Amino acid sequence: MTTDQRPRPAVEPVPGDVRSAMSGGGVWLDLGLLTVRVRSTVPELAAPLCSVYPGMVEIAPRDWADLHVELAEGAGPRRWLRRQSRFTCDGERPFEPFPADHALPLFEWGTNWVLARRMNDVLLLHAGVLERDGLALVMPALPGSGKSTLTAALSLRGWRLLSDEFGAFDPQTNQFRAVLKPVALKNRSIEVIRAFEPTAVLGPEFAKTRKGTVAHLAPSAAAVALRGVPASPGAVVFPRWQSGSATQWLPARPKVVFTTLAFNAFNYAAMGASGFQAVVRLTRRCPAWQLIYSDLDDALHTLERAWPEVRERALSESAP
Amino acid sequence: MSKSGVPSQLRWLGALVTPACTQAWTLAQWQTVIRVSRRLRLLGRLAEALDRSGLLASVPEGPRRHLLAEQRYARWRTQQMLWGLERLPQMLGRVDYPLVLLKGAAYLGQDLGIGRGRLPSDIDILVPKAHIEDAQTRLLARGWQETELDAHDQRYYREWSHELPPMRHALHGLELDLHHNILPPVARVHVDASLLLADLRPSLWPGWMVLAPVDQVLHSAAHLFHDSDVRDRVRDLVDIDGLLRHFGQERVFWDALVARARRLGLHQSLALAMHFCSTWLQSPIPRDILERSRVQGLSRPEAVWLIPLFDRVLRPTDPDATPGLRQTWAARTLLLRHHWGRMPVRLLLPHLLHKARARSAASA
Amino acid sequence: MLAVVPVTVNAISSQATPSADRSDRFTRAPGVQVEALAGDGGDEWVAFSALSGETHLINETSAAIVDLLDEEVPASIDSIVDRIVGETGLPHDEVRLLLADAWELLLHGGLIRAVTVTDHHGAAP
Repeated sequence: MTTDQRPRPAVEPVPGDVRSAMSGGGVWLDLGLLTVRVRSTVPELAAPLCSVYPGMVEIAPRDWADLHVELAEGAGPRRWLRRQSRFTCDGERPFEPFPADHALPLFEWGTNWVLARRMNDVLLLHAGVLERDGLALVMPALPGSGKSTLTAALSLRGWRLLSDEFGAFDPQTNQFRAVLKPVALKNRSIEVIRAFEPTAVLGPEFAKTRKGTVAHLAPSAAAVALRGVPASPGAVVFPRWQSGSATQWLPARPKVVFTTLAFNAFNYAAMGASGFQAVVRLTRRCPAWQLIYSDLDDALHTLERAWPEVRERALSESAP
Repeated sequence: MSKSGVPSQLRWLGALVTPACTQAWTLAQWQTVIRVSRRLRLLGRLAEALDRSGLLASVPEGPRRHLLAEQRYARWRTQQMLWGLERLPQMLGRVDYPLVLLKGAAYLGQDLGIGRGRLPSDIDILVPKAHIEDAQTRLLARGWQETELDAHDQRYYREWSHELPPMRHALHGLELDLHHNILPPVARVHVDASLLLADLRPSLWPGWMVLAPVDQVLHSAAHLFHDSDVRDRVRDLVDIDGLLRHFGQERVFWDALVARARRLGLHQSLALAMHFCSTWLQSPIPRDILERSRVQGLSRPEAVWLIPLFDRVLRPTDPDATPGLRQTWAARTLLLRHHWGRMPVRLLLPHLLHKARARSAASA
Repeated sequence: MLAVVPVTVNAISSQATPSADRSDRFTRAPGVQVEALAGDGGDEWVAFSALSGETHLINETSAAIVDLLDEEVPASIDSIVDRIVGETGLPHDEVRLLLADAWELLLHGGLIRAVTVTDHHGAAP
């Protein structure tokens, strides 16, 4: 008895169909590491969801989903006045209700919260991960780093996005797996990415969320097609956006790499000895740098130039 | 108006006792069980039961990942508790009063199956009331800290409750709850803690005691049937069932249990526990004991009123359904009963007002 | 949930005296893993305790203590001090000071275990 492995739908479902499916049995999203079933009686979720999960929304039922998420209308008068949406996942309700038209950000943050607490079969680093030449570029999520902006830009320049939030490292296979969701851009980053790549597919903008204005960059068709393909450890890069700064590329100390990866993981402690050994292995195996920049294009070029060295290192690690 | 038979939403509970029955489950059944058991905090328990029977590896991949993940998570939380328990006697130093394990810690300390796969959020221990200040003082000297409470809540804990405010330690993950009784002293049901303390048994861990088996059952029953929110609390019934199965192999246990319930004033809780354990979990309770406990614990009007109420609230809803209005109202009725039973009215009103004010301040 | 050496640890160790009690003996905790991060060892060690579930950044002194202690045979602080003095040639007082800082964290973090002479033993998982 195996879990359902249907190929993704060839034709994009219509938002109207998605909306009615959501109010019934739900729709399914395969993120790579896990599948999510989404039900919603809040009509405002369907169209934005379709726009930022292109090629990923399935109406045909699956036998199995890892997470069962539900967005419900507000309780009592909030069903009609200043309408709300509420997020639940099998009895867990991590957040207070959001305004109904903020259904997508609520879905994104709620699903992240639940995912981080439940998927303890792999180590979940808090990092953006992209793949190039089969190797993972891991960028720890630290406040003010501009990690999401850089992740978004890289994903628009031929680096395959695995995840903007979750570095899902499987200690049994020593590989990174995708948790493919749209990249969440905040405030100024939205304009930066629009200017960087005018053809980028961005979902609607949501003003006045708890994190300011938020918009989501849809994953590329390649990222969607390859979300089941893992990546081997490549390099760890600590980005830091600093206004007016020239690009700096500085080696990072192993102690900093270890503590950041462990500190910044969602479930490091729960992973016990397995998590400890995994972070030790990653620290020893991956070269690590700090990338300080203000110019996005220059930052990308720096990463491109460094990648052959990362490939060399990975080859010598795996050589007998 | 008693319901007969195991509710369909709970038939899977048999897998905790006989894990082999899971081999016949379809993927759809697994999906429901994973969701419901997680909500009831029994997913870890199921994982451990399957693992001990060597069946975990043959579970289909989808559910297997969740079982493994929860097993890992539960073991981590349990290890934190064990670590805290290991350090406590060393931090307390030499004391001449007993240190008593409660609940999950007690089950582990007796190597009971119901101790495995739990998700402890705190460490519960009991010491005699006369020595509780001493115990706290010693712990404060070793880095444990009291929770910040306002004057009202401080008073609530010290005068009206059976436990001290939770304590935290910078280097330990779980909170410590020091109890001196198993139910609040100002409750309408007042348990005489000296009776509990007179009948302690050693645990498997040197330096730690546990309550007598009958008292462990009554503690769990009292906790469930006197508590404020009884939704999704089937796990407590599973605990009681586990205790009954383990200790109930001797007839003398059953007679002692019924007698002790009367002695401690917990006969109503026991009657309710026995009703649900026998009908929902098929606990092997001797028929005459079941009858005696019911007669002793519930008058006819009480049985007619309370059993359907608890049935409605304890019964888990289908994973895709929202709790119905009737369950919500039943839960509210039981909440009122809880507060009614918990403290005298003269103390109750100011306390509820205070809580309401604190809640609206928090959501402002 | 990673327990790194917090500033408050020193405050705790200065208040508590039992770890300096010479009648206490210590063992290495079971399931401890110590790994060097930098190739040359240096001052960058990480240690995992299966007992507490915690990971700690430790310095050379702490790594030495964990290494010198045995899982089965208890040893006193004095004997560890003597061994370190013997192997490094450092002054006795200096070594004692280094150890005093490290000891409480190692104990609380589950890297070493106290085995007191009195009959009040800790719980065994």
